[in-house]
Amino acid sequence: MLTVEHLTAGYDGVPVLRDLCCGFAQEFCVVLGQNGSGKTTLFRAVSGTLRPMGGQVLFDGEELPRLPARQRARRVAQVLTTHQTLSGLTGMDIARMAFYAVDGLFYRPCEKQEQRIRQLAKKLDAASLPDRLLEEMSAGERQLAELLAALCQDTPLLLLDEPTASLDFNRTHELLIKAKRLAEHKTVIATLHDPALALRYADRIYLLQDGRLVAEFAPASTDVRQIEAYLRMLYPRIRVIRWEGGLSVDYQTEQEKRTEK
Amino acid sequence: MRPSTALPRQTKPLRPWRKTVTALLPGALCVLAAVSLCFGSYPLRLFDPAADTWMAGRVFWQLRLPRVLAGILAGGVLGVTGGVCQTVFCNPLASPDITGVASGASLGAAAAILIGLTDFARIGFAFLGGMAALGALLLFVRLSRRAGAELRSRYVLAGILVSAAADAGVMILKTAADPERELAAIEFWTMGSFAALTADKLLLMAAAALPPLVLLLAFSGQATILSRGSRQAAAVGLSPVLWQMVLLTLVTWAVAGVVSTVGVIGFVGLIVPHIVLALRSKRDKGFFLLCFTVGAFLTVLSDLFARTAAPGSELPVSIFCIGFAVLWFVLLFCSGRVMGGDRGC
Repeated sequence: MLTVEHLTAGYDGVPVLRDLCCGFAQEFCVVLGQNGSGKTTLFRAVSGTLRPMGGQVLFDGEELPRLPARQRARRVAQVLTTHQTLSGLTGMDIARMAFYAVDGLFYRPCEKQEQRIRQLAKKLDAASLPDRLLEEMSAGERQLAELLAALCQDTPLLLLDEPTASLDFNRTHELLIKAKRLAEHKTVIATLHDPALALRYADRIYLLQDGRLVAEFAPASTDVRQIEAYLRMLYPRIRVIRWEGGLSVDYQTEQEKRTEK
Repeated sequence: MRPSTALPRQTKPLRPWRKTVTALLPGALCVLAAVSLCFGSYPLRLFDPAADTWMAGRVFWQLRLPRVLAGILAGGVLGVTGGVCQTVFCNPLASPDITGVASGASLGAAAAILIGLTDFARIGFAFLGGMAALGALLLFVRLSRRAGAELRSRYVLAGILVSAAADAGVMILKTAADPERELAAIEFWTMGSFAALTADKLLLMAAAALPPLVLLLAFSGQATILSRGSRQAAAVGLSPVLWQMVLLTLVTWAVAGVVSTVGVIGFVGLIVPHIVLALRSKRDKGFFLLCFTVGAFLTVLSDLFARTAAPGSELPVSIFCIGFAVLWFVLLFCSGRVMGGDRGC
């Protein structure tokens, strides 16, 4: 269980997140928010790359930002939005880096780790990824390789920062299905830009606006009109429609809104 | 049909000739070293009982063998440090020179030449100059931490500043130097040479350069993690600030050890990782060891040319190293192959 208490965090003394309070349980949590709303800042504060200006980030009672880097890396893993990679690295190479948290100074590649990586790759239906060069992968495969690397850290908490950015329709859904499956055993928090995907996959949705949590709800157990009201705080023209298969969303133009009235 | 997550394409396996070349490299280095032992102003023949004279023995143990070993060590150090720099900076154009260490060492050596010190004192001065450059670099990086730029770009900027300042210092010393003797000595030093290398100097170089080299090879995994950027490194629990400093300090230390003894040898650090990547196309376990082998090969070969190309005189070894580098890059560009790239950097 990840608990964020009165968290204030930002850059150069200017807070982006202000007095944020929320909790994330062992389920698939999705954070929605416009660009600049503080999603990435929240992830950075939780993963320890940004020192909070105030408040606490607790994971199972431990204060994450205060833990030594390697201890933290055994509790939180993350997939970043942008990846920087020198050519000549394979999926195996980046997955192996996860074991630095365990090995530390005497970090060496070994056979046992390699087997473990292949095992996890198989579970992700990506058995061939470890042997391929990153620069020869498609965007979807690349994202999967990054997810594999994060999984190798074997952490109870997994952060996915815009995991579906630049993925096509199929890959987007495949990736989210995998993320949701992972959430059976760990707390998975993802940021997304598409409310439709959030409604489809998230167990719980968090709405961030200007560094504040404006709403938090479980789509499965919330009334459709209520969901729409929540989402309209971020997306004023959104319309949520319930049908037998679930929820879907639509964008309402000014004209359509008038004719509806 | 089930949407396929199956990944159809496989990375091409290493082409057979690449495998062969990689496997043969250490052997080729040994052969080259053996050949190199025989050539020079005093011809020697290996395994020739008739040549087993006192003079031949002296030349072999005191001059030729130290010279070849120094070539192997210097080239290996430059190759490995080049590989580490390109990995840490995630930039295929980075080289050990980026830290300004060569310029700092030049300044130290030039000062020693001007004062008229012995060879050994000159090595000491050059080493101190290199380490002073490192100190200035770290100081600047620390002072500029409020600039908001990323750590790596601050290192690059600091390296440019330090080497420019040291180069200016060398220029001042050059204008003060006697053009007949001292100026010539300074110029010759900045072109690199294994000519005056003896067993004592080799030991000195090994003592200075081997410890950081071994540590760099031991920490190559950390360097590779750093190539993924500060945030990704921090995500797996590696402190980017600490490790960038540790690795670059080791690089500077090793290069200072080499440069202070044999002078500035250009381009080896830049080109070697590209050759290794062209041979293997992967940056896996053996990458840095291969950098050592290729760097050593290139330098011993350059030195062999340097002392045989013009009979009766010694040419600066940099001429041949740069020659190989230019040739290689021209071939690389003209063959349309992308450089061991920085896609996504």
